[in-house]
Amino acid sequence: MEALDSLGIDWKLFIAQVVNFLILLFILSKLLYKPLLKLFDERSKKIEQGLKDAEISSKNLEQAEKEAERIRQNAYKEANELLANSKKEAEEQTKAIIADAHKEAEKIITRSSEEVINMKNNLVKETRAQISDLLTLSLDKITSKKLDVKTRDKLTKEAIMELDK
Amino acid sequence: MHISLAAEKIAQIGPLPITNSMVMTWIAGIVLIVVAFFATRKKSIVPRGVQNVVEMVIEFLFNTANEVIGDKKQTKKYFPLLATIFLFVLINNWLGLLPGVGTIGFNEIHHGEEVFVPILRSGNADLNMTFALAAITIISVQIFGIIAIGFFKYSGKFITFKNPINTFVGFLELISEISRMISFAFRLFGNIFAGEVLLTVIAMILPYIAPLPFFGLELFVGAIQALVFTMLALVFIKMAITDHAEEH
Repeated sequence: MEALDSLGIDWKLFIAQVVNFLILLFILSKLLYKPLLKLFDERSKKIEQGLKDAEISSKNLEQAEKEAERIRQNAYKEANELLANSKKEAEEQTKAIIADAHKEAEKIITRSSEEVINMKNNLVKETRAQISDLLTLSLDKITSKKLDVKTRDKLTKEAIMELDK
Repeated sequence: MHISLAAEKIAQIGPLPITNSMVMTWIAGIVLIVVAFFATRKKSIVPRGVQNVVEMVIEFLFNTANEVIGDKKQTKKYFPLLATIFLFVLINNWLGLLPGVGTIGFNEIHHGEEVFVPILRSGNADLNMTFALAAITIISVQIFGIIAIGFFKYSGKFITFKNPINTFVGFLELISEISRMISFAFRLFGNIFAGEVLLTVIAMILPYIAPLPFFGLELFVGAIQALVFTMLALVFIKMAITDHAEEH
């Protein structure tokens, strides 16, 4: 015991220090370790979650890019098709319009030539009628109405017939 | 110059003598509690300021412990004791280096001669403190061992009658537990006390500039001793909670 005394060991102090340390251990556990360890867990969970999210979003981005590329290709194809179609259609339309115009022109030409013929015929008819009237009148005047109507008409007709030759 | 191996008594409360080392351990405890309070007052998932520093220390300790124990859930059980040992020893050692510790005091007539009694003295430069830490550690190790692998299996490490060699080895194990406690206590006490003496002596010989490298050295020794104490406690815990029969 002499040796312990000279080293300064005192049971009362020893026990006091043990108690002090245990109190400190208790307080720090409650105040420091528990909340911090919980925080570490939360943080690592959050980081994991964040990494997972990042992976998912990068995957999504890739997919979206692929989708966009696909849509773009489709649109390009469609546009090309549309362009080709409209070109074809326009050509067809042009052809149709031209054909119509040709037809119309032909029609107009036919009609006008018919009209001309008609007009000529009418003219001829009219002229003939007038000539026949004139002939009738002349005959009447020349013969002083001595010719009977029958003969007069016959003569006129003959004259007209002669004219047609 | 008077160097006392024992911590000096500076007051008395009832039957309990108050020593300068004890006052120092109280201060260390209060410092730790205050820092812990400020570090965890406004916890945020993104650490800032004090929280960041404290987190770094705690995380370092936790990872070190986890590497040895190898299971996070298990580590959490032993972590408070290990962390408290580390922080408490470290803060005590470093606070003991502050100017004024060991130099501010009063003279007292002791056994007929006048001796200088400092008001403060490094907490671990007192065998009561280091023995208290050692006893807590070793007893905790036994308790952890019993909880982890069961009383009979654990006590089987020390007392077996299966064959005489094992009986003898068990007896040696028992002795080694006690010697561990003693070496724990004296290693820490010796290092810190020696540091105090060294600084005192150097300051007496060359008061200016010369003590500076020694202060640096003592800062280092203080940290290393805290780490050594903690690491040894960690290894002892690991050994105690591992069932040796299962390993073979």
